[in-house]
Amino acid sequence: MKIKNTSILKSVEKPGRYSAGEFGQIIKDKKDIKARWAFCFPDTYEIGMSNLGVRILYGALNSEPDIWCERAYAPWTDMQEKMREHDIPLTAHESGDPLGDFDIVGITLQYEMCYTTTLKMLELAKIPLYAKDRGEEFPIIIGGGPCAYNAEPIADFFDCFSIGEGEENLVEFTRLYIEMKERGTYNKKDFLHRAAAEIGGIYVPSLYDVTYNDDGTIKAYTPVYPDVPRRVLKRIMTDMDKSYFPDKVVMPYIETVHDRIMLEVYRGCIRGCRFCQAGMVYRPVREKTPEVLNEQAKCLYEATGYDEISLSSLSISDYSRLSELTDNLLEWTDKNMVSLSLPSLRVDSFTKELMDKISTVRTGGLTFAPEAGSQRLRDVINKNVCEADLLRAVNVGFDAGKTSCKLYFMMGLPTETYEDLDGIAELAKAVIEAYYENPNRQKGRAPSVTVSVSCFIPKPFTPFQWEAQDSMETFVEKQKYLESKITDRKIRYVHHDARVSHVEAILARGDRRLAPALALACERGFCFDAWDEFFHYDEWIKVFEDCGIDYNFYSNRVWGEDEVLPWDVIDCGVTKEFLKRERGNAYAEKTTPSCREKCSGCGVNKLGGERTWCPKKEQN
Amino acid sequence: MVSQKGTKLKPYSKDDYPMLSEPKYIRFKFRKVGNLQFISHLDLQKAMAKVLVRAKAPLWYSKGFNPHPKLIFALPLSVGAQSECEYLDVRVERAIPPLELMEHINDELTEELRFLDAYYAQTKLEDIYWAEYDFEIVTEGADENLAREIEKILTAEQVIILKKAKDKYKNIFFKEQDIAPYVRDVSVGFEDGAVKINAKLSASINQTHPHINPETIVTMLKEKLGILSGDVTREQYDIIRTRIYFEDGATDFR
Ligand code: SF4
Repeated sequence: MKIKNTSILKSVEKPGRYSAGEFGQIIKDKKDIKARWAFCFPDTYEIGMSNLGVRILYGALNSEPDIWCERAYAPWTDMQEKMREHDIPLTAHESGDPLGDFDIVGITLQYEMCYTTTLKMLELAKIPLYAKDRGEEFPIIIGGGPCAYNAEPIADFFDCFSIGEGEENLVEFTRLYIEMKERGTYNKKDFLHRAAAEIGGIYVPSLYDVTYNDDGTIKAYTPVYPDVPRRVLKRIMTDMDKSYFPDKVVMPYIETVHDRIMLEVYRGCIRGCRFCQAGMVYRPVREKTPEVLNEQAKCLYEATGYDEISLSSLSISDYSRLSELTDNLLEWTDKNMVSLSLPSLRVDSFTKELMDKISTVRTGGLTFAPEAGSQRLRDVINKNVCEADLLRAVNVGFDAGKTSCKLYFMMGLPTETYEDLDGIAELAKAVIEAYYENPNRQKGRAPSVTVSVSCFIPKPFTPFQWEAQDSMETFVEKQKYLESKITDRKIRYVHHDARVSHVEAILARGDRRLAPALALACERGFCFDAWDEFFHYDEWIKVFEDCGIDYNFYSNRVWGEDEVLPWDVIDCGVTKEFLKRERGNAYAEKTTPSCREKCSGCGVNKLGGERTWCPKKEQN
Repeated sequence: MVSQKGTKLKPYSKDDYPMLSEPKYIRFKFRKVGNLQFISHLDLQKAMAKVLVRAKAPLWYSKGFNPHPKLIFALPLSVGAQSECEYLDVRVERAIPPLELMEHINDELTEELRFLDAYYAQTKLEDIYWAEYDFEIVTEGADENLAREIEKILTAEQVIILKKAKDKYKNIFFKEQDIAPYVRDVSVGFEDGAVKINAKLSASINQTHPHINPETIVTMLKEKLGILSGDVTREQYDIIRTRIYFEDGATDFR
């Protein structure tokens, strides 16, 4: 959103969100441009500017001379009011042109709770919500990001989705658009058809007929043309060393969520925790080499002037050449007053050596995610850590003078019993005891442990995708129970709002029949549902009820393994057989080795990839 | 709007310059206009630190556990005011020619935030005494008469503003303050549908004498004359700081 009117800017909070003019923003001459993109992030500027994926795709599209990609963010509610009052449409950040004037509007869907903000942005842009109501005069609306793996609840509002990593496929998509425009063969319907048929990883929902069984489950997804794939296979960048890397960065003038260099070390995850969607859909692991990473880090440092480099990946300590990389980096970062940070550490990787090297590990708090309280349940979810690992890790911290520790758990996991909840309280107690038994601890100071408990949400493309979420009553009961078990004043207990998790679960496994509810939510003014202060559970339930939707059908039901799933139309590379096998292992309390130890045959190796742990794909 | 990097200067390293026997302050004068008027002082400070690193400025860092460079900004502007003469002192440890460093810095900036001058500081920022501002007010019914009325208010024997204050219980109340002694060289005109005011206001970085925020002048005029209360899409005002002076109000600060 770029607003030129200074009176309006002077009357809203944080006008720097809208004023643009950042160093590094890309301005192009419209006369050289054949396709204009507006890349939208359906949340505030501060959050959107921190997203690495947006940064990459903004750069990738703009590296094409005849494509101009701009950015757009959701204006805060005070600005939305001004826009309505003065009839100002939502505009793109760089040019200040209304979104409706663009050729292509891309929207990244990072979390389910941004759906209402997504629709609000379309509404503010004066673009009709439903794809079927948009004529040729409106832009093509394309979605992407993690939620595109099951975009069915919002599918009716989009023309298409980019599935998987978009660096190449968004450019190919735009090239096809330009080609058809230039030849005069363009119309939206033919373009979408060709894109679906010819470009890998483009899913066009309107090209699939969906039928339902009497019991409400899905009967079939049927492509309306023979040349449209039955299942849309996700795209990946096979060689991360050669993959597009944004060496120029738009530098925000106002504080954003991550004001630091985010160095993407690898994609994917070797672990396979059974509740984790990212661990499945981003497979296979593809590492960059330390040499390339070191060059990229230097380049980003010179381009940004940031004083912190965050090594970002799903589980950074699983990077096979981490110590080589940190050594290379430390050679120049220290003397330039740049610090390194690691966002996610597993307990088994938390060592004295790492702590000495990484300043944020040294200065930050101890944070670990055992996820479940008992060994049995940790085996069920395939979180391969044990109590001994955890206690060893906290002791490394206590040796170094730390006194507090934060532990993350999940509640409502499949097979969970009250004994498993006891385990959470006991684990926290064990950490407190370990502190007092540690001879090197900071004498005279009491330890503190924070236990943070979120609610399990069954997510598409995970071994737990068929599982039921606990009912609200059960969640509340369990939360109360756990609270009663934690009596030590040195242990602080915090838990997520189960009501948010419930709505999230409904949307995560939703299908196209949820569209009317989202449209109604938008009409009723829902927006920024990812923000606590704007989330109203009762109103959500009312929306579902007013649309006649049996919402617990999506969240609280055990789905049949032979059911057609709304996301079966997408192929993320990991087979359903593998997910079923993993679910079986979960119930058998059997763990699965990481990809680095042994391939478990998830099937994603058919996509290829360099520096993966996968067996080479079969030649055929 | 030119916002992309211009032609990149030849690659250089800060090690090309000899170490100073003791760190010195380079004083920069810069512009902060257009969109950048909406960037708060705190955000500007953070952004500027990054700009200096990008420009490879030979910054002096404080010693200790958390080393940080030393940047001193004179007269922070409030959000919504522009300036052609902001001052920033930066402590450097190498003998880099200030104008050369300025070029490198400008390579890392957009037109709306641009460095205009650089030299080793010879005076103290505390010596700043007066700041000159241009006000441009577009408001319904503006005319020559309104300009005269504004002139009368600003040049009267007493210029009373309401100043926000807190009592000992932290309750906010407004108290009257006569700022007439701190306003000088006022001229008001009417041009191209806008009232244009030029005036010097007392300015201080450390409260040795009063610092008058230009925004208070607009607030006072709004209250006294009821201007700028109509349709915000048609009414607006701009404030631009144009020059800074020593105590005599005539010699440019340097
Ligand atoms: S194919 Fe094997 S090694 Fe590759 S991601 Fe799947 S399970 Fe892991």
